[in-house]
Amino acid sequence: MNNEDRCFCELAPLYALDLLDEQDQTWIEQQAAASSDLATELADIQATVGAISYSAEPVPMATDLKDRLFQRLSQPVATELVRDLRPRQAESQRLDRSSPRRRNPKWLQVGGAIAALALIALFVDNYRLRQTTQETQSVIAALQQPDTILYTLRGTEKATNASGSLVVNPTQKTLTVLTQNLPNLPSGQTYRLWAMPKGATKPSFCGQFNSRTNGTTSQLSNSDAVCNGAVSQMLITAESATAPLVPAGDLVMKSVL
Amino acid sequence: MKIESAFNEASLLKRIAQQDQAALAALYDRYARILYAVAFKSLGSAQESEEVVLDVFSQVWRTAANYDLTRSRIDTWLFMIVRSRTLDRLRRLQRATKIALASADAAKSQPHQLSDDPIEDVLLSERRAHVLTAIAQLPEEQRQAIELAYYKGLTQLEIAAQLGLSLGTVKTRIRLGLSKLRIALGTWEPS
Repeated sequence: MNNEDRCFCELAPLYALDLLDEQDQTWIEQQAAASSDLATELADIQATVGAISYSAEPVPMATDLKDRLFQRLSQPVATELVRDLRPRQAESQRLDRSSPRRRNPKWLQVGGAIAALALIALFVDNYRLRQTTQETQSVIAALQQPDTILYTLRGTEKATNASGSLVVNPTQKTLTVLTQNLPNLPSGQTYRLWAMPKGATKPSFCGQFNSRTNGTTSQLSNSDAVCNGAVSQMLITAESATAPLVPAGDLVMKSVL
Repeated sequence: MKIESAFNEASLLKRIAQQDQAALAALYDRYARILYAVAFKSLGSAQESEEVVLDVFSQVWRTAANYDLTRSRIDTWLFMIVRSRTLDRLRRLQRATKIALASADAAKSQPHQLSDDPIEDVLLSERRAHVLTAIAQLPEEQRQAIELAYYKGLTQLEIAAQLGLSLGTVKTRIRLGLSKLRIALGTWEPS
């Protein structure tokens, strides 16, 4: 379906129920990103869909579930850190049904283990990351997931000293960006993360964040299947925060093998 | 009769982002049962539904700092997460043949667990009643198509196949149904 055939009002309800293919999903997200009215419309539709949950019949629930929740949250993470870093096939997602599932290549499995160890070393050595317990727990929790995808990020000539990692959790549809020595941006500018699948002519927008030179951990949520899958390259550019979701600024970091 | 919420949810989320366990416990007390009910309606398994609830609140604990409440209400966010986790498990269970599912009938025969907060019970009951009233206004065929998508995670093609309809008819029923539902719920704003 090309843009001329698409109608936001017709596709937005289907989007809210996860019934669209990847292309139409991206189109809806782009339309909502470009228009605050459409974004409000989409949020309203999503709230309507969410309200359906209230119609579910109440059923008895274990009385100790809350205790189990806090036990889970207090679990020590040291023994969990590098357990099974080999990425497995991502769980079946509605939008992936029409596209063939890909296994992560060997280089990513080996690179993933090495990057994870480097990531742990980063946590141990970096005083600021040690202090931000929440950020650390978030990343370590992501590393615990068996289908996690790991990228090593390196600065381009625009940010030669920058380094980092990207942890993608396809199940939770979250992307955690860890960066060091990425320059602080002036007010009104932001860093944007893009996914470039093999053979694609343009990258997909995965989220935006701000960075501090002495180290930053940013967690992004994105339901785009491209962003949550293994792609040939991930890119970070510096953009105006209000610019359309098309990469136009300097390329500052990219993933490496 | 409109029941005032016991607490401000935006403030709650802010406290959770600061790793305030009491705030997470309060959010759990408010929403855990409804999230469990949603998961159980799809999965039919107490064990699997419990894991979904744990996953949802674990994710809230980890990502509360990054969530922007201007994007959607907290209940909408929770319901999106629970539906995503539930459908992931549902598809995994459908592929696995050795997972034993608890009896849905056995679960329903037990008395409902009440929360410790009667105000929360009334609030939840009021919301549920409002939504049920709105859903009851939908034509049966629209409600059926929406619930197959929402609770069973079926694709448009699967819904069409199950109901013996064309793809276009399924899309139209879902779109019209959600539009009607949205109008019916339009005057409702949870505290």
